[in-house]
Order: sequence, then C-alpha cells, then structure tokens
Amino acid sequence: MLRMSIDIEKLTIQEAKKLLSKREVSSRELCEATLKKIEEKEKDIHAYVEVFSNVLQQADEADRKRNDGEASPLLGIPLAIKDNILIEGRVASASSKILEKYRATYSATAIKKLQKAGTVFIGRTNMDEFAMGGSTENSAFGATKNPHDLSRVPGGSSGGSAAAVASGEALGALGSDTGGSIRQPAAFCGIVGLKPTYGKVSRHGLMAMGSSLDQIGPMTKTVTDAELLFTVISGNDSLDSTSGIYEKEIPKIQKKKIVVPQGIQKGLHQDMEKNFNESIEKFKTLGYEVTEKEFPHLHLSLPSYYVLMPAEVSANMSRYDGIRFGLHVSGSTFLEDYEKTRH
Amino acid sequence: MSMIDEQEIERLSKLSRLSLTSEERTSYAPQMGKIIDYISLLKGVTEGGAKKGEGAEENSRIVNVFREDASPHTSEEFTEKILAEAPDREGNFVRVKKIL
Repeated sequence: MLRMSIDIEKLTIQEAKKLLSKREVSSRELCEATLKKIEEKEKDIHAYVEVFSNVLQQADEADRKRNDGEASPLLGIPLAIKDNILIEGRVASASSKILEKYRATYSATAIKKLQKAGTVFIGRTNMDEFAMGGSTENSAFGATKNPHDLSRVPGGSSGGSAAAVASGEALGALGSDTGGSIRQPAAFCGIVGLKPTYGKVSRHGLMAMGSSLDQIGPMTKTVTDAELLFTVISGNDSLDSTSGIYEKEIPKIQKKKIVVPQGIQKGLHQDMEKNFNESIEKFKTLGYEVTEKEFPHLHLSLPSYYVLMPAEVSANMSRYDGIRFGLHVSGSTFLEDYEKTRH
Repeated sequence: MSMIDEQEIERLSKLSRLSLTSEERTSYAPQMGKIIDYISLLKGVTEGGAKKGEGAEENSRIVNVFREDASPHTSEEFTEKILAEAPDREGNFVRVKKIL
C-alpha cells in the first residue's frame, strides 16, 4: 500500500514520475493502489475486459530497473490499453466474439515504445466492438459505465480507457480515434483525450477501422500527462508508411490563436455552454487570441464521414472471416463457413 | 425516404458474406434507408465546393513515403507464430473447404 497519503484517483503521471524518481513511492505501491481501486470499482464500472495477472511482476521489474539506475521516461507507470491495440502474446479481441480467443502475434509500435519507456500494462480496456460506436454499450462483453454517474454512458468507442483513467483504475491509457473515439469519451468522463495529427503516431498493430482516419492517442488526467504519453508513442515508423508523411514540421507560432467555429455552441446544454464560454475567456486571459470564424461546410463533415468511414471499414473488416485467425464456425460449404463464423 | 427493400438487403448481405434472418432483413431495410437519406445531404454540394489549390499549403508538407524493396525479414521467422492462430492447417498451409 502507499506509504504516503496519495489519492490514486487524482494522482497524475507527472506527479507519479516525481514521486518515483525521489523514491517516495515504488511502482509496486502505485500498481497495488491501482489494483485495489479496480477491486473496489470494477464490478460497477466494467472498464476492463481483462486485468493482467502479472501486473505486480511488471511493477517489481520496473522497481528493479530503477534501483539499477535506469531512468526511462515512464518507468513503473501503470497504464491501460484499449483492446484493439496488439500486445504480443496477449488476447486482443476489439471486444468482439470473433476475436475472443485471438492472441496477438506481434506488438503494436506504440506498445513497443511504451515498453521501452518502462510502463506497466494493467489490462485491456472495453470498447464498442471494433471501435464502432460512441457509448461502449456495443461491446460483446457488456457495457462500461460512466464513473461519475453509473446511470450514464462513458462515451466511446474508447469508453473503457476513459472510465479507467477517470476512476483511478489506471494513471493513463491508450485509446484510438477514427471519428471521435478518444475525444468524445474523454469529454464524457472529464479527462483529457488527444487525437494526434494523422501520421504522428504509428498505427502498426492497431486493428484497422478507417485507415485514412485512425490514430492511436493518449487519454490522461491532464494536458501535461497527455504530452508525456504522446512524446513517447509518436514518431516515424517504417512499418506504417502513413507515419512520417510530413516533410516539414509546422512552424512554431509565437502568438497562439484559437478559432471558434461560428455557431458551434448551438444545441449545447446550458451548463456545457457556460463551461465552453468560460474556457474561451480563460484562454484569452492566458494570452491566446480567440476569433470566431464561419465554417460553411461544417454541417457536411458528418455526412462525408459516413461515406468515407463505412467504405474503409468494409475493406478492413473483410479479414475477419474465420479462415486465417480468430473464431471459426464450420458450415457445409466454404461460403457457409464465412456466414456461420460471422453470424 | 430512400427506398431500400429487403431484396437489396439480401443482395448486400450475400456480397458481404453475411447470413441474415428475415427479421434482421426487415429491421435493417428502413435503417439503411435512413442512412442513405442522411448522406444524401451531400447531394448538390459536390460541384463548386473546394476550389482547386485550396489547402495546397497543407498538402505541400505531405510527401509520399517509399522504401527499397529489399532487406526482407528472415524466411519463416513469423510463419509458425502466425499459422498457430489459424483454425485449420496442413503443414505450412491454411486449410479451407473446396472453393470451386
């Protein structure tokens, strides 16, 4: 248990890093506190589809490395991983029955980078099946609940990751975002979620949904924590040729400008609208230039998404056929094998 | 509403190798119609939308990524691991039912 009175629900990765490096807390203590939180809350929240059985061994390994003088950037930090990101040797199901027993034959690049940075993986988080959905109710293994109010949804599709971070069941998490699947559950659960610019984080080892849109990104309690994870997982990767597509970096801008699309608040709940306007004022006092701009095509973005995304999904999902991996249900013909497996 | 009938759903399910029950077909047809209606919002705005060259500044930063068609991994390095996930195999082949 924690030597000091640390509230694991509030503890940030930034603070945990400091405490770890000052030896005021060990990774084992952080992980034990996290597992205790899981024991207390998981039956109500159901953020995880699997909590790994070797969490404390991973923590001890991190503590040993620290004692040996290693200081990798996220050494001993417990994180949760969305169930569509591959960890070699682990089941990766995308919360689908068709992959319920599928074991990843390799690790995602983002996972390898986190492992190199010393993180501890707590478990696989629940999601809308194959990342299609916005509530984490569409999981083959049951819905996740919002930790702030169990009668509400946590958002989705990375709802398990969002709920895990918001409830103290992980210090941070990875999610994936195609059309809002990190940002929307982060908002629903009151945490920070970043969908990185396309090409910034390798998707090698992320189950593909809409390949022209998918990105892996951090879900954390603070913006600084999101930056800490992003710095580790980002970078070019020869195994994802869409990483590294930018020849030049965006030039650093001295005066930061925020553009608010005109009429974006329309339809918001009054509490949220108030919060939104307060945030704008906060940015202004911090020295940002905030301007309103008309986005005449904004209303067409969602219908466009619903042309592009399903087309890419249908190409990407055809691999789940019961032939090469995953569930196989035998029929009387080759074609029936497909149909029975998918039914 | 766009009319998507059950025959169309049947045809689409065959193409995507899904078997649907008649209840599923009945329930999906109007849903599919609604989706088609929604994306029909794009009708009429395809002409005169983005001007040529719009977003060029952004695109000039994007480059194609190529690599030499060389240095493959060692032969059979991953074969066993990957085939171990196959539901049915014969040696180094995935076994399936007769296709033709």
